[in-house]
Amino acid sequence: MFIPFSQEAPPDTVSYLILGYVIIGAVGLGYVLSLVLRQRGLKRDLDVIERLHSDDE
Amino acid sequence: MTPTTQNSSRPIGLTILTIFTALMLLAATYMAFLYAPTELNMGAVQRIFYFHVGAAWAGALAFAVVVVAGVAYLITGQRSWDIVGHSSVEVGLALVTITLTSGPVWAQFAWGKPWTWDPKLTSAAVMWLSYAAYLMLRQGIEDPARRARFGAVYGIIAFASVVMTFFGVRFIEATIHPVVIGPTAGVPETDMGMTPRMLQAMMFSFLTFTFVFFTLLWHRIRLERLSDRVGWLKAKLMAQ
Repeated sequence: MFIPFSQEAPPDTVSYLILGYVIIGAVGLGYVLSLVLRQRGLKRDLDVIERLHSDDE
Repeated sequence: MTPTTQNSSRPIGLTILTIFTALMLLAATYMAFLYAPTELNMGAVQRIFYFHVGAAWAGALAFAVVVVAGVAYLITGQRSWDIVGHSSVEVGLALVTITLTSGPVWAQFAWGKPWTWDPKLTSAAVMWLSYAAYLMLRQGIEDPARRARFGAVYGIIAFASVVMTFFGVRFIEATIHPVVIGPTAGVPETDMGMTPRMLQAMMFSFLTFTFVFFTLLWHRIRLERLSDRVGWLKAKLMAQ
């Protein structure tokens, strides 16, 4: 029987979709996390330096 | 060298922009998953393209900003432009990484393998490596002025890889990579055949990733300025 192209069910590729967005989320959040961690590290350094400065004075 | 000045508290504009961008990302996810119809030949996996292409666009925008910042640095010699260029390379590289890691998932279904040495993919890989090399080579230069000059010149030259990836390969007929937007969309072998709703979702994704880029750039610039301040205070402390 002829089935018009538009009535064919699309292939089930949900697992690929989930994997794709997991990767997108991991890369995106990973970069944001790296920014947050670097900022925390620098703020800690800044606190220590400012404390040393005030001790000197 | 004295650091560029910056308040330690986050500006209200950045907070608003960050919240707005997060909401845009939620809306873009809704449009990619629910608003856009399912593509008949590929099924759900085609929805990867909304973020894949959006991130590629924002990556290209980031590298264009690097060129502007590089030219501005070479003219003015101001550290602020070097900060913009360096920050934009890093954010652009993160965005292009999203494109290069999500594409193979789609390709695994569409082509039966995650990667081929197709001209478009090869050019994109060269682009990624060029900007990754920028970050590595910069770290190896001690003198700040020389490092900034190198960054400016390298950033301008490396943009050739972006032009090649996004425009040059359109003139190579051998590519099997789909053309979503532009003059060669419509060629049967590579055309995505997008419906109006798909196109709307794609356009919204472009807009969203533009906001993502500028938000991340602002945060990254602040980080670089904080790093400058810490470095300057350390040097001052050591000199005492």
